[in-house]
Amino acid sequence: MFEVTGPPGSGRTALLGRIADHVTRQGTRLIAARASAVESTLDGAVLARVLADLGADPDRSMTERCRVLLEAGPLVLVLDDAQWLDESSVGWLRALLRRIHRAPVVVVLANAGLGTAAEDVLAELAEDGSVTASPWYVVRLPEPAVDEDRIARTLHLMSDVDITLLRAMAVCGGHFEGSPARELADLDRGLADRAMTRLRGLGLVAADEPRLTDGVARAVLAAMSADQRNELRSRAAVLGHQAALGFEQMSAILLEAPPVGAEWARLVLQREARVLATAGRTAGAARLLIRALSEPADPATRADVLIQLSQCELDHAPEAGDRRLVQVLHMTGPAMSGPRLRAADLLACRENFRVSRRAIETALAHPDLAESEQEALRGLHWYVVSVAGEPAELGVPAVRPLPDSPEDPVCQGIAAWHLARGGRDGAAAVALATRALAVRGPGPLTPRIAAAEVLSWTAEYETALAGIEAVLVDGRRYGARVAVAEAMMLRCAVRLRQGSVVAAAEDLAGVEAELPRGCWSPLLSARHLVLEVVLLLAADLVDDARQALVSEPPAEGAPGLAHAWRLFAHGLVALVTEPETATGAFLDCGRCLLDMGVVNPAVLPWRFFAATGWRAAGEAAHADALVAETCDLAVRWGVPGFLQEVQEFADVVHAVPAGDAASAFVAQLFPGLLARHPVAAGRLLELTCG
Amino acid sequence: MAEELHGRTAGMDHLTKALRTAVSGTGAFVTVRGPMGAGKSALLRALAVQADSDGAVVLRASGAPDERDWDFGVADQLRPVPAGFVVIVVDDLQWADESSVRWLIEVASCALVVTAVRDGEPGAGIALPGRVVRLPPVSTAGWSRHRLADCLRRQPEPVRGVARAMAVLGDHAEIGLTTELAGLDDDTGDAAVRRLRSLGLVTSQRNPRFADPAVPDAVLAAMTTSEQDTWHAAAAALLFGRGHPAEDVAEHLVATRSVLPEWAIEVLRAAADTALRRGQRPIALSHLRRAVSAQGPGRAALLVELAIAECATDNLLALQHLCHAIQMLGSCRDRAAAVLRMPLAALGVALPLVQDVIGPVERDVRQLGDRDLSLRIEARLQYAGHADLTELTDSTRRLRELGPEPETAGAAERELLTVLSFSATLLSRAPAKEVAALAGRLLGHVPPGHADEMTQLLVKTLCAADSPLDAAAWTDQALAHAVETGTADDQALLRASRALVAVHLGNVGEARLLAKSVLDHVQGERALVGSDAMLALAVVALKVQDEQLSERLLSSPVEVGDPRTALVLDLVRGTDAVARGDAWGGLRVLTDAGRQLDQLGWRNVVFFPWRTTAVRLHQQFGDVGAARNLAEEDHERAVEWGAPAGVGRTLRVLGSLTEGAEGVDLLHASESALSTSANRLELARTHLALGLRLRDRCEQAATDHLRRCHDLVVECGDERLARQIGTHLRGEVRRAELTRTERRVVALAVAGQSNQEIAHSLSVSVRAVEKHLTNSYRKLGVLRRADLAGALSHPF
Repeated sequence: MFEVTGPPGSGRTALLGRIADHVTRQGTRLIAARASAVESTLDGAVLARVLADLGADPDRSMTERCRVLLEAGPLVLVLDDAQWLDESSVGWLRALLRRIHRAPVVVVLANAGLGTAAEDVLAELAEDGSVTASPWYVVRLPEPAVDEDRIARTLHLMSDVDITLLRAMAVCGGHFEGSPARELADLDRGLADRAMTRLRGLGLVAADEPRLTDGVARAVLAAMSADQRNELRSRAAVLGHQAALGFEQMSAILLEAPPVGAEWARLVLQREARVLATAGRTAGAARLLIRALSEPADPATRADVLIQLSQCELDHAPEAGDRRLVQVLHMTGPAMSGPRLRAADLLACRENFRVSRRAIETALAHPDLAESEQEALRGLHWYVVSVAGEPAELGVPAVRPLPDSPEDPVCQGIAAWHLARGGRDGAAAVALATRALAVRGPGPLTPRIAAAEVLSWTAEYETALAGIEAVLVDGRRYGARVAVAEAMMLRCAVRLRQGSVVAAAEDLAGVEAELPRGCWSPLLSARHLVLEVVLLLAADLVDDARQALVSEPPAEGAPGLAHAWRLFAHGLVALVTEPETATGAFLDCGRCLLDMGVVNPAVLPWRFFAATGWRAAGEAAHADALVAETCDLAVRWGVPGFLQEVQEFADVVHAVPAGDAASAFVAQLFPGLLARHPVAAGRLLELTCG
Repeated sequence: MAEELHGRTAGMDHLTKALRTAVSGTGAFVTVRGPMGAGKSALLRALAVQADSDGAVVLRASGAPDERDWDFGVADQLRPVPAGFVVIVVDDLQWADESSVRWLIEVASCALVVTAVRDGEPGAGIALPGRVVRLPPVSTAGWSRHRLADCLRRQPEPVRGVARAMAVLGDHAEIGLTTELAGLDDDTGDAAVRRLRSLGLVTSQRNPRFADPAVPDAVLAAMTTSEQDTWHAAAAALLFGRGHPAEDVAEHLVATRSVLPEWAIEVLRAAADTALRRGQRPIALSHLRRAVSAQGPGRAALLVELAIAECATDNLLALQHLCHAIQMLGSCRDRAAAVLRMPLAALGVALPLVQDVIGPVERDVRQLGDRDLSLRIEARLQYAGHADLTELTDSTRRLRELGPEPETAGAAERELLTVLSFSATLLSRAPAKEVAALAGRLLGHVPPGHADEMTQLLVKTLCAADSPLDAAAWTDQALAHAVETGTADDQALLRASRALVAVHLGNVGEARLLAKSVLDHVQGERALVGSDAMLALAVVALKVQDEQLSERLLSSPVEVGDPRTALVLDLVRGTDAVARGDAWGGLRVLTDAGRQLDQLGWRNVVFFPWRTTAVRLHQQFGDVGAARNLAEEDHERAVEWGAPAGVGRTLRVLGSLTEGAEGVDLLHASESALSTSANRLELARTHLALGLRLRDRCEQAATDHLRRCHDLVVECGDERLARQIGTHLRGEVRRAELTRTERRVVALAVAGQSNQEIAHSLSVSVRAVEKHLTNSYRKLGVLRRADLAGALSHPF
């Protein structure tokens, strides 16, 4: 008795063919038959064929049927695909095998190890220890390499139990341990273990752990109908929830499953997305959130998901993210005030100004807005308009102007910022900004950042830093990534003004860690460029600074604030290398700023640097005029701390010599001047000028 | 009844005799009987071989269950029987058809017929003539599942029922329970057990047990899923009804997927509690998971239990389960209670998740107006941010907001203050003195021996703020208490804390011993030491700088899931690499990990003194600029934090980088800073630095410093440093201090004499010799006898 066993594709049939050839060549009688899956329920199918070969009558008694074969010896009986033998053929084979010890008969059969009923009987026979058992030789063929084709072929041959288990595992991400696969397949431990052994034998399950091998899950799922898949996945989700699986696994199941229609599903997806996004895997998080949107939720909750999604999409689909926010602004319903305001705030940060302006205008047009929300939205609208410039389109609905001393904290922040840009009434601006910064929580962050910026222009560095740190905490907590990046950048600027170069550099690196360069808006990247150039020049790395200018993509669209900042960065590099040529860039920068209504010299010291350039070029009169203008504006701004800084800076500019000496002077001055507080620079000047 | 022969040997003897008689054509009928697997077939086969060699014609046949109805089925396998010396061997005769049996009895008149009958099988009762050889059951049966399943399938329903009941009940299979579970009356049950015994499947004790583990396996394998579910559910109900302990009942509840009865949840909970108390955490978890998988009103509470039990193994999963629970809990107070029951450690793993889940709870609680509750929840939220720079900054701000001398009367306030002071310590932007004072006050409220996570935080805070003395008293008490009542895991955690305290007191010797004992525990099976203890150990290893300890810590089997602890372990890895000679690689690892810790806001220079090692390495590589930058950075931070241990150490590092008088001034500044520090080892190191720096200029002062250093180091138990100083100290300076007798004792000891011999040759007592030697060790700055020779001869 010989048994050839091996998984599908291992070459059993070929081996049997070679044996048959060999037998025939030797002149021994050969009887070959092959069972098939289709006929496995057809009683006596194989037996009838064998008996026909022998020329015997199939209707005789079982004893007779055995005797016919035994008396026909010497012969070799070859049975291929014995796993599909039908019941009475197996019974006959069993009776036969208990009798062949007396007859010159050899039986060779092949099976695939699929765990069918016939194989169970064969296994039992192999273990038979009675006196009539003949020696049983097993030839085990090696496992062939797994490929898609083979998987597909194998799937056709497998038993229901195995298929069920495979499908369950495929739905559960290919895992078995710690997944609802067993419950899903509805198998008890014993059955599942045996099925697993078979699947392992077939190479579909990894040898070291109960996990589907590569490509199997895909093939198994592909072989199911969509309804089957959906049904199984829905059940997997529910079972997984019952078994309180971890979020990672649950969200993987939910991602593919049809809507569950339960709150827990949304929460699991949302929370896993939050964890993924914090780990920087925003694309994955976005997929989960999009899936979360198909679970039922009230408008406010839905808005929350949309807002979270928009922040995840910043990296790979920023415009889609903006659209989500616009969608939130268009939503109506109870408890929508908070989400709408947050969405407006996030949009305001995004500098996709036309989109954000129109969306806020639409939101303002909602008839059932509360007074406070209306105020806050108006404030944000004002911010957007003043960063982007007045709208150039027709039919823009008039939004009431910002009051001078607003009560709403959002408006206070924006109003302070507005006053500060215009360079007027410093004390009032500081008061407004301080009140705007007193707010904590998930509300709009843009006005708080603006207020902190105002304080940085009034030399109130510690208060500004405290405000920024609060923004960072709230921004991180409530997931406002752009605001966090903006706050980091602002902190970098404040620390530069304070003279802490190392801390400033850390912040600037933090900006990039918070928000990848790819999703920076033009203004953000222009401001980043200025800070980067300043830090590089402060470290005396002029070539690197120049390189930074080159690698920065050129500005697109109309000159605006972003253009002004970029020009400022170019001017700085020029000032350090060839001071006499720097003036142009600074003056252009100034024009852009003035065009946008930014008069305050505290925003960017372009006038001083242009004056330095003039002086280097020997145009002392122009230079003096600019310095004088700056001092006048500083007086108008009326903040004592800043005024003092300006005067010290003015002294430095006055000392810049003309001609070739200028270059040396500026080069000597600049790393320190840029890195340190102007006050420190003043001291430096005393040293250099003796 | 025919005569019976027992055992294989007796049987074989008899068969051989029968064979001899059969040569002459005299027939006989012998039956071999025994349970399954007793070796009947083997005996028959042996006989066949022997008969064959004796020249007999051997005919073989066997019965099969399917062929019982075949008329002459067995006989047909044998016919025609030739004349002469014939031996017929028939296996499994119990399944033979009646005609064949009759035929065989007939043939036995002229041939030797040997048959085997399996006891306990339905057909085993057939009456046969001749002798019976009875084989006893074999203990190591090794039956295959197929044969067992096959055998059981043919048994009548009551027998199968009893087998199933026994398999399902497992260890609790008492006869009464078994019959009741199988739904039989006592008589039927007994009969069924007898049948199983005669099959050899069951032992013959009063309470039947399966003869082999393969048997219950086969029984269970033959049951369908729903059958198993039903049987286990019935078993659970039965055991519950009979008042069995919860864990026995729970075992069956876990095994069934049927809908749980109402009482089941309570039973599972009780069983989980028991398992937890016994330290069988996986079992407890499986009970709780089973309870959780049932839908019901108590599911949320169960999820909380599950989460708490899971904290020791998987903090993230625990947190996620808490999320589920909070979502399901109806009342705000319940949600708050669930959060408060969670161990702190679980809340430190995923900040965004905690903020998403606990943030709303906090807001709700605040609206509720319960100040204590909202402070306690806030404490948790603040703790969750303990590895995030921004949140740590915010915590420090919050601490400042609470004023210089905050109220510590209420437990809720104390919790918040504990967490905030810990955060402030990590970030190190508040004055250490104030933080330490606050932590000291907070510790004053902790009852002696009471060890919880909050107190552990205080211990860390006090250590990092250079005030470990307060913590020392507490850890000692808590440890003593835990030794009496706590589990081994609790003790290990406290020992790790004690090691932390010891190392901040400068007692590296003690710290090393404690740390090693914790690691011994960790190596043990089923030890659960959280990342908290690992963090403490890592800090200890960083400061003790003992290669053996570092290596053991780094190779410990505990999986460190917490990224912060992993970073601190990286610091240890870096230092370890340096100690092993890979200075470049070590420096890289050290700096990377250090910078990352910085970014997390873990900036405490006392806790994480990695820059000192990095400075030394930069200096070695000749990069003085980098060394100085790092040292200055370190010093700036130390000054900001203000703990003397940090300030003194960084001053010393700066001093050793600075040449000339300025350097000496820095070292003196370090000395005076450290004079107020609890860490005496740092002071010793500064004395060493001063001693080395001054030795060319002012020998007396140098010796003085070295001597003070030596005294401190010996006190601290730092053997390596003691040896180092021993070599630094001039041999003669020290030798001069030995008394004449001490010198003689030392000389003899160096010459290799034992204490006994020395005592004898100097005519003094052994005790006196020991005393002289101990004094000499101290004066010479050595720790053991083997070092004496070196100390005497080694020049400066």
